[in-house]
Amino acid sequence: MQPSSKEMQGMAGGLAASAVAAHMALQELQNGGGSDHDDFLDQMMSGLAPAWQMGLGGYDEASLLASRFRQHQAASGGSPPPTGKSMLLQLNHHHYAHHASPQQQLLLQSMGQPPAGGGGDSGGFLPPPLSLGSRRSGDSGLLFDRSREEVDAPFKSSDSTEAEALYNGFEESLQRAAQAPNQHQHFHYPQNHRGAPPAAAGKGQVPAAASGSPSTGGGAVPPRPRVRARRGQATDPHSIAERLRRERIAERMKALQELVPNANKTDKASMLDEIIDYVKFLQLQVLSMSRLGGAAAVAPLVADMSSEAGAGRGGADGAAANDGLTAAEHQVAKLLEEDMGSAMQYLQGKGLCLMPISLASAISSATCHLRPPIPGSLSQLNRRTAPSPHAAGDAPSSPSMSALTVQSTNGGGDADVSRPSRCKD
Amino acid sequence: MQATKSFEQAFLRHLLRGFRLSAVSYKSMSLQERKSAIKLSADVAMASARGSRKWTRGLITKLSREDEHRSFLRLILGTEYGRRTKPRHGSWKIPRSKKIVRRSLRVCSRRKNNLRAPHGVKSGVLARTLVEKRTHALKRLVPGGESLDGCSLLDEALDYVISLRAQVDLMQKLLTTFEAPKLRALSKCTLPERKASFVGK
Repeated sequence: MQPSSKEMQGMAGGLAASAVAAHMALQELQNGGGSDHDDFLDQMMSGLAPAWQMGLGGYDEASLLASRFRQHQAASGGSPPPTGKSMLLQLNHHHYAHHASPQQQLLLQSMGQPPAGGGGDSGGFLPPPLSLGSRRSGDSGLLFDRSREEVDAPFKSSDSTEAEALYNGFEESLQRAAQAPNQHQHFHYPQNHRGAPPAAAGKGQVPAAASGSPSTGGGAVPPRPRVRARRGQATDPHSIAERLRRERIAERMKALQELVPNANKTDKASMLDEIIDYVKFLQLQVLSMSRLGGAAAVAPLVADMSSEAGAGRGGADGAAANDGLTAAEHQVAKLLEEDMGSAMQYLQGKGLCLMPISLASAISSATCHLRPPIPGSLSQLNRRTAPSPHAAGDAPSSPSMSALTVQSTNGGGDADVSRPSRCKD
Repeated sequence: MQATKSFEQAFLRHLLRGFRLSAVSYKSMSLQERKSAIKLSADVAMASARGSRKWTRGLITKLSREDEHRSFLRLILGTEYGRRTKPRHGSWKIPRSKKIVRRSLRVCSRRKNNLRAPHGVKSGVLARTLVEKRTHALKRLVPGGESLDGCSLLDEALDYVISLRAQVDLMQKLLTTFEAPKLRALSKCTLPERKASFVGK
């Protein structure tokens, strides 16, 4: 079944005109499909020059039917579509035994668009073949019915090819490439080579074709209001919803890409891989942090301290000083009991300050370059430290730990923190 | 993206409260117990500091499954405990049996394979299976992610990653704050950058 896959690949590759693709595919078919994939694909990529001008001459059934179609058109101006359709039907049945359904559909396409001399009549057949639809089940018979009833219906290729994935990519690339203005372009493309856009007049039996013909653009309002499908996309809500969903997922992926390191992957699967690894890594890190904390007895310190301090104060959060109040703290405590100002001066002399506990925790939780807040903190401090001298433990016990300089507590310049202040809470 | 300052403050507050409540002490607990107690407080603190999200609810529900944690949780969260653990209506998917789902997937893929031309790589199915496998793995990692569809799963994963990072950062800062004197006394080595250690895996 090589030809069919090649065709599919070719169709996916050739963005411009599926009709061209169909034609090329026909060529390949006639050539016996002996050429390998690369040649075919190269042809597809390079040879976007319309095959219409080349004509279908030389290919048996194609030319035969084309000529017959032309005859019909020439003969009866008014009713070529039905007869043409009947012709196609014949062709359909004729070929059904020989080819797989996708090939069949391609043949239908090519049959439906006779080159050059086809004139405007085949405009009716233009819409169904050209829009590569979604990958729902496409019987050729089903396609044909649709082409009869809903000319605008998208070309439903059978989902029996593994090129579904290619179609996926095809549609996605289409989303990016084709915007609203492109809607009619692909119709323009093959049409140009026919020399004239199909005349919408006289197509009473194919009313929807009017909406399809690009020349009318938005002018002719079709009797049935229809949304012109973008190239390769169906009009039904399923694919639209799918498209939306895919876009949303792409957004989230992009956001995650900034977050997760090493995420320069474009592939969804490998991005997910990275995300999974990163989450596992972070969870492992939390475990190791907690283990370190247990080993270093951080939590016991906090717990013990707070239990001691909690008795002294009025239900405020957090722990007080570290193991062993140093002399400085004793001094400060003593001073505080007498006079706030002298306590502050004493601290100033040491290059330390007092601050509310919540502030200390906030500062230690944030980065070291936090600006000191409100000057009113001092007044809070007064109220806070009045009940218990231990609150003065905000000043770090160990002299090696520095705190904010006095300047900063005045709400003035930058926080001049050389080390993160202790987290006292 | 950065975790907000309010998140960090709330996290620290809850964390230290949790330490106190769980009464972690050198005397009564082994290292393992201490480690799990700390981890428990850290997780609960992260979940409660974040607020109400799918993964926080999932995390709290998962933690409350064990009875010993439940009283702890109740103490920490207080009134919010009931609010957080009850599932939000409307977003609850019907629990599907995994076996049935897998079987149906297999049948569908087999049907596709039969119709398809049997040659070459079935790239579409392969790609889809890979993504599916990874999605399931991610669902297992993110708490409460089992009942989410791909799009919201990524959302929750994003949020979860941000919170985890903030958690690790804060715990690290806490450690350095408490251990700074010791560390300085011992050596001048600095703690390795988290990202560097991750990238260089």
